[in-house]
Amino acid sequence: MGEQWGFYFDSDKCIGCHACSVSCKQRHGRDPEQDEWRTVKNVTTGEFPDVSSLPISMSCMHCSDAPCEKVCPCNSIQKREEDGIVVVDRDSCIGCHYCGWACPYGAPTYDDGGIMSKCNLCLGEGPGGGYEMPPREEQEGGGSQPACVDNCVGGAIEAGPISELKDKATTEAVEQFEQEPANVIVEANREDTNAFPYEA
Amino acid sequence: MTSFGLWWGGAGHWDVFVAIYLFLGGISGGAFLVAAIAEWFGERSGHEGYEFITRWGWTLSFGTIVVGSWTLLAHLSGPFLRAFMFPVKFTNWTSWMAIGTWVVVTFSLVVMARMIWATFGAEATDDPSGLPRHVVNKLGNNLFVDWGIDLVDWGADRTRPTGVLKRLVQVGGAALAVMLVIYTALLLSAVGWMVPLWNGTLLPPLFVASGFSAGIAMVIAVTAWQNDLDSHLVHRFGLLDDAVILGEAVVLAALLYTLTTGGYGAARTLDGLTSGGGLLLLVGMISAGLLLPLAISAAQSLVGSGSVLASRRVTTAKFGLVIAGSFLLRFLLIFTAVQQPIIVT
Repeated sequence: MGEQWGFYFDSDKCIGCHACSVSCKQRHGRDPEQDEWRTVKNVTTGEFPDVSSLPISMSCMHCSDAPCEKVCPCNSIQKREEDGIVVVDRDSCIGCHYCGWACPYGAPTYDDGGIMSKCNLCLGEGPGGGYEMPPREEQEGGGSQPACVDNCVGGAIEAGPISELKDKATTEAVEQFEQEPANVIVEANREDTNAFPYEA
Repeated sequence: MTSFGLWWGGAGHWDVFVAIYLFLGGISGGAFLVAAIAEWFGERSGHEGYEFITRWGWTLSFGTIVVGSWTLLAHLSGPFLRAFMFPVKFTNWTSWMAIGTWVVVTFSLVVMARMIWATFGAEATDDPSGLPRHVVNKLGNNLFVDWGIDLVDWGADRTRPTGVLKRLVQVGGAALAVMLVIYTALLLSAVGWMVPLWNGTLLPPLFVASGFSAGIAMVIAVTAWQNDLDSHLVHRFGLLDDAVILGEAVVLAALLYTLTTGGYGAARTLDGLTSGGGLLLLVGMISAGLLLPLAISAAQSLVGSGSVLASRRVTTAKFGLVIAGSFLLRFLLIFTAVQQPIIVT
């Protein structure tokens, strides 16, 4: 089995500009009116009047133990052995939406034809891109940089083999990662001042 | 200041067709069990009423699973024909949808066989409970295929099991009916860790109780009207229905209680169930499916058989309420379900 790829997200560096979701839509030809494969939301923390808004960017996390893969009746969703990326065979998807219920991150989206599509870590382009593609390569090895990573102005999102992402992360984030079944390393909001305070 | 926020994901991934399918799957399994019980008693008592119930049980079970299967297909948003490739495509045995599809197919074949064996050939009857044969006869006449009914009669008599095989079909069929109802619950509760309302422990007994209760209601109401069923038998099955409804009420109460002790997803689900449309649905379901039928039964026991309350009309209304409650339960479970949020720290 090859090394698992995943995402790294640091909320302290995210400014909520949506460059990640817009670039994702552009690369994969998604609906410009909707946040689909990658979503940016401002999550409110605290209680009035001590309220802060924290921008969070989220997509398919390519979970280590992908629940969408387990419930899909047709085996249309596959977690790849070679790089851990969760891909979709759109030619066999029946559009039952079962994966939508199983996903903790709201990653599956359904287009006009009713077929599921989601982030493929830019393994390929467009819906269905990634299925039956060769193993993911890093940029130095000729692979493409995921659009969200490439266009993140604050360097909040990174992608790569998990061991490399761990080297960049704080000890706290790595410990948290070891406890969770997701293939994402998330830095906790370390400084309240970096969140955007609510102004009445 | 609290140090976390909540990211609420999507919900409502399924439409009304899924609610209808879950309801029809439950009532089909329930009707099958009623037919199996009536067959067992009929063999021992020889009472004609049990034969009527048995035949209507198979027929209604078959009819509801056929319509249910179509609603299951109707909810799919992908290319329609792909679903028919299920023997090849549905290969993920960790998915209850794949397992359930085979349960539905196997159950449909068994219930169709049981219906044909009970209403064709040597078992043919002119009374309304022989409906399948009357329909085939009429279709054959209209389509000028006179030999069609003879063929089905011949096939029924040649394949009708006897002895040990008959017992195996009886026991296996009943087991399949229970599996059908339980699978419709497991389909939901397989993602119960994400959806607090779809509790893995409580949903299967709740669905079995609701499906069986609605199955009794449908089969006895239809048999009472179509075959002028003996009021003694209606009363006996009505009492069985009441006992099942009481069990269903206990499980439902336990399910609602789990929402008071769960996390943020459970709390939000409870909020939805205690306000606006959710509250209306919950009150409607509890009233129609549980309280009113039990109240009618209690009133019937108190006033005696001569009263208007004990009339067939009122009893049918009670059964109608049970069926409506069973549908509302599935509707509620689909449309008020909420996924767990992501906790952002």
